[in-house]
Amino acid sequence: MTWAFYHIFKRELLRLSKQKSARNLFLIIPVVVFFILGSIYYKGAIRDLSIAVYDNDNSTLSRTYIRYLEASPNLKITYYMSSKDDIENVFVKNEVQGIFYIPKDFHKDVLKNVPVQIKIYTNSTNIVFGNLLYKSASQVTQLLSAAVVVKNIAPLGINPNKILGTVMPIDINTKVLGNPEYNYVYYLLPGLATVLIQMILFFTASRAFNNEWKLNTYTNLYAMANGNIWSMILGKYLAYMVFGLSLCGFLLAIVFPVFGIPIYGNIGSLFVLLLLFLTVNIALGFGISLLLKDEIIALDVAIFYNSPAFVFSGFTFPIWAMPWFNSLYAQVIPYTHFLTGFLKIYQLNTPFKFILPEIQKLFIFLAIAVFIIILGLIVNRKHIFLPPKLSTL
Amino acid sequence: MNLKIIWILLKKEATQVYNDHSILLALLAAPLLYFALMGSTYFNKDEEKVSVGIVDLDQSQSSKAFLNKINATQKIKIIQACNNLAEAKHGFNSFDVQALVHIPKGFEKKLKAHESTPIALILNNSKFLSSNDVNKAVNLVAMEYAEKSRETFFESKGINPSLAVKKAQPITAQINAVYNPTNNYGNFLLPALLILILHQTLLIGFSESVALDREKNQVALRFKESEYNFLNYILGKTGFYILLYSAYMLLTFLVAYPIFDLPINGSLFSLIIVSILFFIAAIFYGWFVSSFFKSQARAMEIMAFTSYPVFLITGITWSFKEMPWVLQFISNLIPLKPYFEFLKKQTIMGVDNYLYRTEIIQLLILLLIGYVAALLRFKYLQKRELKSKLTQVI
Repeated sequence: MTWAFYHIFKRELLRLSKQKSARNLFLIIPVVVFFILGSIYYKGAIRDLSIAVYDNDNSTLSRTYIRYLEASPNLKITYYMSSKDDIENVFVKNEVQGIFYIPKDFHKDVLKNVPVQIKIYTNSTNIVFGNLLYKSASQVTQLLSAAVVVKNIAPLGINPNKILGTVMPIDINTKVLGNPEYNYVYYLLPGLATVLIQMILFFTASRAFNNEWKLNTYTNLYAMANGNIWSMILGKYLAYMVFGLSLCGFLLAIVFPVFGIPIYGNIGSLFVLLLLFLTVNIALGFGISLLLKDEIIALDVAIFYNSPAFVFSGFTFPIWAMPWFNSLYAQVIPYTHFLTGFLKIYQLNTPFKFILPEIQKLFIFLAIAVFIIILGLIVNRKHIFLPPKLSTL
Repeated sequence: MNLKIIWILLKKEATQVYNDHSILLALLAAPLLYFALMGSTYFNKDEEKVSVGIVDLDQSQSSKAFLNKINATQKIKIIQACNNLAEAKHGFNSFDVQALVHIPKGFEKKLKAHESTPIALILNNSKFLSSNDVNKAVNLVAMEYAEKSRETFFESKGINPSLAVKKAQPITAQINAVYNPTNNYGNFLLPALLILILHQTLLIGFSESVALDREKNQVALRFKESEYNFLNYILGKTGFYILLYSAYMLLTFLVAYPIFDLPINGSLFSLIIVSILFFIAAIFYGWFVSSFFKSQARAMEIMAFTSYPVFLITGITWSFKEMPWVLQFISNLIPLKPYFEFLKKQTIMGVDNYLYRTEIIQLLILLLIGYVAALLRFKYLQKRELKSKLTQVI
């Protein structure tokens, strides 16, 4: 009787491995989706963004500027515009993301101390391109501008040691922590993969009990547990945990190395966080499964609750920028809190104590899950607690 | 093709949707709720006031003035002032601040002596958007100081102030973010996100219905009711969805777009026509894929997991050219890819007709592929049903 949960555990492992649905979710979907997502961003960073240049001056200085553009690792001139080109159409026709317009008399005006503006048009329908272009265009233009200023300053008499301090008095030394390479695979794949693990585990757990009722196998389960509901839950929990941890192992031990994703933090802390995160999702899934007898409706609830988790997690768009209701909704999804803890460990290598707030929040979710499980046990007690006669079948 | 049969099948499909809570939820509740919930997430379009911590070891007037300037920018809000880096690291590790500005001792002295004054900017780059915004804002403030310093130098050499201003910044970049003037996140993502919501709820609801037919062994009955005519069957089965999602599409462009302040710079008429074509293509594809599912639950599970890969493979968040050719090839076979391109050109960019001709041709080819795939699958299933019926009779 004491080891009833162990029999349930074995039974559940067998049941899940035989289920086509579980095989799809635990095997096919992670392998296919993780590798598709990783492959999308496999290059890591965008280089050589295609740009067009319209040199209306054709002078030494304009050519110098163009050389600066060519030297930028982020830009690649793929089209030289002529007066016949319509700026708006060039974006689409020539598939460029930016247009650099060097005005007429550019060189002459610079020599005459008339400020010159280089007009840069960025295709900001995609802000990834827009931001990169903004950064590169500012850098190149400021560099040339500073070079001109230095040339103007020198003849006026200045201590050579003070030139830099005069032209650029504040030197911003930027230190980037957590993905210093600005690598998109490091940035997006871990986040997307963990949200999918949450969904997989939640979906399957939300069918853990109601599926037994549907397939008329519950009596067998009840008998194996000797009518002890907690043995049933514990046995099933351990089986789901084995599958959940296998998914995490697959992600961290295979997918991460394949795409060269580093883990900066402590594996032990990460393991504790993952264990709690998986437990919360299994428990919430169990709660729904016990509460909602119709497994399709349970699945609906699971899909509806989990699908927006990534958008609300604040990963790509910060929670503080969301309207109050949305930021509130973000707080009621366990993934939001897991992600914060996950990023702290995996990217910033913070000590364990810094993820304690997230651990606490996940424990609150666990308490809620236990409450839903108890509620399910009460609501469906007639289906859960079978008469002794049936339980011995 | 028999319109009467199609109408009967269409009504039957509507009844099936009405009677199945799950399909009803996917088709009627989910699109509207997701529109409200996910659409409003980006209502503010962009982030402001990213929390930043400071370590001002100089504690001078100049350092305070510099920090005030940073704090005055739209993107930054200084929320934590620390006495040393160790203390500041605590806020950084707790994610209370997204970046740290560290001003070393001697900042003012060096600034006044016209020496280059290093300032450390430590960024938490685990989330790109905030990190980029802080970096940009701090560098812009540093540039302001550079201009001021150059002006002062020129003035000190007897150059009149107005000329000094010109000499301080001889070349500037006027960067115009075309089509999305504030380069904001909402205008970038929302149009595609709204369409993705429609696409995914349609696929989930529709695939549930197709799988349900197989689960309840009703496929043979439906074939019989359609008099074994593919057009009768497919139009009867999908007509309800085409009508419903055409209505959703109108709701998106006529109601959701104005609410979320999204532009439609091209022709609304072509937008509607091409959108209907897109939904029909998606439905053909959906029917073909769903016809392999024998269980409603399995169809739902699988379809729910297609959202992220289908969305991201279209290159909406990344450079399409930078993807492996296999993924580019697969992406080009999905109707969402040319449709997103068309949508961008038609709504945000408002370009001339001939510049989105390629996308329309691609969409029509995909529509044809979807139709042929569905037709062949129909013929196969029909043959199988007849065979099994024959076996039963024998």
